[in-house]
Amino acid sequence: MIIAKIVGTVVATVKDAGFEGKKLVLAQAHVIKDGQLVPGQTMLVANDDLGAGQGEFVVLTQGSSARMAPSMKNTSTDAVVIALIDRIDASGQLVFKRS
Amino acid sequence: MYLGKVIGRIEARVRLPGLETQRIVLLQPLDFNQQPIRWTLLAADVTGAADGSLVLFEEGREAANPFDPPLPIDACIVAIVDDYQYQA
Amino acid sequence: MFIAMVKGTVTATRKHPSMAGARLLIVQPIDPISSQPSGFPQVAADVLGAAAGMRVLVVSDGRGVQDMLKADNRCPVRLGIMALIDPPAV
Repeated sequence: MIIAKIVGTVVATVKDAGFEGKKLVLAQAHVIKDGQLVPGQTMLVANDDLGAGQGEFVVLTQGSSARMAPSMKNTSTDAVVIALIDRIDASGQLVFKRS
Repeated sequence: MYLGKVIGRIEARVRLPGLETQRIVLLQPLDFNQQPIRWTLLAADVTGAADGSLVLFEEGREAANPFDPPLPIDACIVAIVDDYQYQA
Repeated sequence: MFIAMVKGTVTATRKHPSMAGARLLIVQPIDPISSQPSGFPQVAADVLGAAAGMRVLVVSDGRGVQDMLKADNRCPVRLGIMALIDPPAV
């Protein structure tokens, strides 16, 4: 999984039936580098059933594992938000805490 | 499987159903000279690896295999490394 | 499938139970023509008796590895050594 920051939403009227009623978010991958939480290199679109808000950090699962989420059984997705992050600790240091 | 080191953890109260008690740790992938490679990632853990442990982790659909019923997991620690021999 | 050079072994007492009967080998993917390293070393399951310095054929699919290890579908291993490549004819 990756740490990702929600940076936007994606709105589409015409879509595959499995995406009806499903929220899509734009998420930027983040990594821990030199003890800091910094943007990574990928930006992706993911399904979100947890109500992740703009600027929130989330855990994203990618690939065919994304459809293991019970709510994604009928959605042909390859990325899903599985948790909203409250806190990240790396090398014994606090690197992120939800405000 | 890749070699990695557990370098941290996350806390998350809001999770998809089935993941409530699943431990998720922060991993730094390593080469066999124990130099960092790739980028950090998050992984589930079925071994009870402690902070600082050297581990093997698997990625992709296979990482979800240990979980029944299935969970949306794409990276999982599957072994704790006791020792290794490596000649580059 | 890809070709790799065996570079070592890993010992792990605590591991997923499906890996109990497998040896864990460090494999460096190589370019099949030039034999130069290609990408990062990884760890693959082995039941054929591969040893350091051998060239091997590695499959990267969990179903294949489950068959090889006679493990059920809870087994999370993705890389398995499916063949030991013959040394070049002299």
